[in-house]
Amino acid sequence: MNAPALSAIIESLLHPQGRFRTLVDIVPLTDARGMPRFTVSSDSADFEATVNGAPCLLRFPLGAADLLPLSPGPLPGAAQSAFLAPCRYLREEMTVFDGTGTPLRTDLLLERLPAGGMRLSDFVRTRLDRSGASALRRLLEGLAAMYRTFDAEGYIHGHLKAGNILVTPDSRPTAVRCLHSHARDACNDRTALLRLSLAVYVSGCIPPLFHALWSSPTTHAWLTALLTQAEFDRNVPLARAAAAAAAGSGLLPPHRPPGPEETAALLDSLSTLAFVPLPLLAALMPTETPAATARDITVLYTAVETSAPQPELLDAGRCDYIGRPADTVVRYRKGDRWGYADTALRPLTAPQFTSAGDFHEGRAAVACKSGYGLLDRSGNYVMEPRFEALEWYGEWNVAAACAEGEWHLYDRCGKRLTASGYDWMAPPAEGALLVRRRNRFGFIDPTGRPLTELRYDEGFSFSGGRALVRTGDTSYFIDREGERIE
Amino acid sequence: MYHAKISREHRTAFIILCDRSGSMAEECLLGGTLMRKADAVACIINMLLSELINRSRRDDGLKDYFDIAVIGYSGEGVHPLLPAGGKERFAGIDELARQSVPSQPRRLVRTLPGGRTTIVEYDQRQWIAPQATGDTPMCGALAEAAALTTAWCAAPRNRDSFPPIVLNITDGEASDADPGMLLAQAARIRSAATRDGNALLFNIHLAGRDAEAAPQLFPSDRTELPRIRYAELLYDLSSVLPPCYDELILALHPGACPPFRAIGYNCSVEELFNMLTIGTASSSFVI
Repeated sequence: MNAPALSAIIESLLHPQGRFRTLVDIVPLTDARGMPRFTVSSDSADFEATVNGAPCLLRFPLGAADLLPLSPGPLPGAAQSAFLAPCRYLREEMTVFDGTGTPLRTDLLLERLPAGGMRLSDFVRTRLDRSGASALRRLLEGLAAMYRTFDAEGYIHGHLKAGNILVTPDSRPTAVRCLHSHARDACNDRTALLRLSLAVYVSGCIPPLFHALWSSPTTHAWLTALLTQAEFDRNVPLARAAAAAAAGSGLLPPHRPPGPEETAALLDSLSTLAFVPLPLLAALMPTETPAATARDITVLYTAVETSAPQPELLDAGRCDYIGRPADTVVRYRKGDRWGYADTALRPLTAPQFTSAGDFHEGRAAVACKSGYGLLDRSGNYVMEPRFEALEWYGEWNVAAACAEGEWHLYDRCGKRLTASGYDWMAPPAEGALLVRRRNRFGFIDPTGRPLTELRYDEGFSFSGGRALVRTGDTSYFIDREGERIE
Repeated sequence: MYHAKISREHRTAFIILCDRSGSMAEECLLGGTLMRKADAVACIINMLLSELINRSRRDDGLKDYFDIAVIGYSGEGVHPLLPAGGKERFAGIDELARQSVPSQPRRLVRTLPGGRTTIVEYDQRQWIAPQATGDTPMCGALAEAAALTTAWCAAPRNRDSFPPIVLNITDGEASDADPGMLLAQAARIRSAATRDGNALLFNIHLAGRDAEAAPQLFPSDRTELPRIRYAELLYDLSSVLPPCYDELILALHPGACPPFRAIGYNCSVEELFNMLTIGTASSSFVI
């Protein structure tokens, strides 16, 4: 089988109901436009999601599926260690549809992310004041321990970088996006960990340089500057670490990359160095990026860092209720008013609704003073709040709404589907809705098309492919075409 | 040959030639929906462009791995369909992603493994608008593609890149040239080369309403095609595919025998989708 298109994967993640073989309660993390957040490498696409409420990365193959290194294969012992996110390979787990509508099954690799894990740079950024020094120290110790574990177990990640290391609130680093096929060179891991540890250390020494240090274009500049500072201070461990990181990058002579023991010793020594001012380095570094000492980053793992200003997060302590994520959105209540926020607790709406349902398939029914309406994920009305009642049936992508005593069926965009109104309407069951007008019952389908005439004195919703109806004194079952079943 | 990895320094190019002549107003089925061929082809090209953009997303943003040109040919002449900047008529991925283009809601009916049917709705960005008017100036379009391909290959920065892919989608015969002129333009395209190989020309012929011959995708030999002059001409216009495509084509046609010719004759719109997916498979060679 050829691998699925990204658009097909996105579609299935946004509409997961019925498309996964074993996984349940899958909620992709989305951006402000409601699109799943993902990144692509040469052979796979990684989507952020929660599965059963736990943060995960879902990795899908790109290119020829069978050639991909997604198979767990001979997972090293380190896979069981505390420093690697545990992963499960799920064969033919998800159904996707290709551009012609043909269903295909695709494998996926599920990587369980540590609870509360933040990406390395976010963790450092939020611990740049004095109270964060001990956390940074523990992080440096953790990075050294991570290296020792990988080295002892012969494990090569091959793609260690800031975005692929998550840090738990207790400062434990965990490597994610393992099993990359390319560049599986132990030397890459060594120099990457050295460079990252140096960036952590220097961030602790000179917080205002955080952005310059963690943005890749200036990587070369700061390593060179750090080396100068370390030599000026006669700080041998720091000078050796900077030289090793720079040499591993091929930046500076000698070009000999550090060996395993040397790396371990350097990482250990970095974790014991005191955080001190480094004035020469500060003077040498470009200062085009403003300093940031944000303490407000409390979000879970985010794979894509946006440059757009982040909206203020919801203060959980001031909410009376915060619900579980449903369709990438959470409900919250302040007093007697409800609102919605994304899974990172960025508010999508103010607390303005008198009632608010969970999102399902991108829509939720809400009520305010003027009536009931239907909301999309960005907080805009697709059906204005002018109805006396409104029910959203996400599984069927339809809403039933009542205005002036008449019920109609509407599609997800608010387009009316039923030609004439009813005075009552039951929820869809097996693709049919029981409806009633002037005490006569009948059935319509979710596109609003009548399945039967309104000819029954009483009716019940479909179950097991049949519905019980009554005409006069006679009760009997009918099928979807309205034919009597004997 | 044909092993170059695609990176920002070594991009590759896709040039899509799109027949927009009057016959594209015929109806066809795409994903169970009846629509004009012109609408279906525009839809598939737009999906392809979205996919190439998505494929270029890395954790620090979009990367320009591809140069893309879409050229339409119809009674109104030969025109670039992407509002690309620059003289080369190529749009980069970042440029495409940033372009303000209309979106059209698409509604898809999906039958899930359990038999349940759901409706999926999404907004498809429309870089390409459908059109169906007039004649089929295919030779002019091939000449345009030859000029673009030659210029692209000649640029020093592309010297070591995976060579350009030209995909010509048509449902009829050229109205502006005889076979000899078409063969000459196709040869110009195929002779353009980087150090990694020659440009590849795919010809994808959509079935007409009265199509009787069975579709032929990626034949290995001329004898697999129906004995129709036009089918044979398209065969001669098209490239012989290098081995890097064999596995994908064999997944589509198990047991077939490479080398394959880059032609699809009498394709349904759905087969066009498969052809384009394979035609742009080099997009997975990104580092």
